[in-house]
Amino acid sequence: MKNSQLYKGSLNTIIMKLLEENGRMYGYEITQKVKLITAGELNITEGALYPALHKLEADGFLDVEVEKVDNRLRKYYKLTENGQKETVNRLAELEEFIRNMQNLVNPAPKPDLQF
Amino acid sequence: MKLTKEQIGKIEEYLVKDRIFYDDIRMEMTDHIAATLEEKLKEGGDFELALKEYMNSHLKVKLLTAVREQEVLRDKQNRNTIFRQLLSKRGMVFFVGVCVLIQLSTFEVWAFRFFEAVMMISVLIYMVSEPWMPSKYIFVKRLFNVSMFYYMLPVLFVLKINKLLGEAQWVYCINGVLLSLIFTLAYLALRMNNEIKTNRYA
Repeated sequence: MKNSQLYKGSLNTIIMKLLEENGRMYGYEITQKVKLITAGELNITEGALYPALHKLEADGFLDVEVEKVDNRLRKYYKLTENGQKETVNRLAELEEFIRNMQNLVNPAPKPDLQF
Repeated sequence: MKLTKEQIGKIEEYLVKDRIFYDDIRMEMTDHIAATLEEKLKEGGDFELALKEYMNSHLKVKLLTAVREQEVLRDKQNRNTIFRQLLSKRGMVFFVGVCVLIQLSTFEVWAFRFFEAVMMISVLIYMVSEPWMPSKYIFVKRLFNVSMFYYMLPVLFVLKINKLLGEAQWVYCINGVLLSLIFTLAYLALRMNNEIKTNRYA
């Protein structure tokens, strides 16, 4: 994953957001979707993705469906009811984080302090 | 290009050699590699060559790192499930049932020896057959190592004490309880395994 330290904390939220938008997805599809949305800037590796998916599944935020596709079994992930609620919370948290970071990195000029 | 059944089989063969224990994790990794190779072979190319390249690349190392991390998670999850089942009504009834049976058998030495013999013979069979065991039976190896560590070592320890203390009755009792625990845990593990198979992969 590019700049892993910065993105690491948001990986679960990214996964949950994608599942919220697409209904159900499989591992490889998630990596490709992220690559496509970010125009190749962000590359989620298998090493980070699958443990995160399994952790979310163990926490009860994701449900699993297995289907036979193209001569092999494919594991699809989708949000549970709890997962959907958690996604809303985590997205709000992430948005707040981005806003705060934006203010810290690039603070808007305050008019009363201008000469 | 969609991969054929034989080509999927080849990927699985590689992963079995890498000792991926859980079927569903292996299945998911097979799908991941297959999807990666399909993408790569879209504009043509040799499957065997592409597979070998993948298996010798850093991508495979990353994949296996992910697998090990998932296995640790899954082991923990399974241990918790088995422990919860042990404390449930069904688990307790099974445990008490086996315990009573073993304790009753201590009145007849041959019967108690029978329980011990079943366990020792299974260990012996495992030790003799282990070098020839095909890699697809790695679950037997894993089960053996885990049970050896958690359950059999205490039993062997009690047996040793038994000899030192001159076959005291209370040592037989503890030994019986430990044996019952092993049988109950084996039963619960088997049940959990069947449940996972029927619920998810039916």
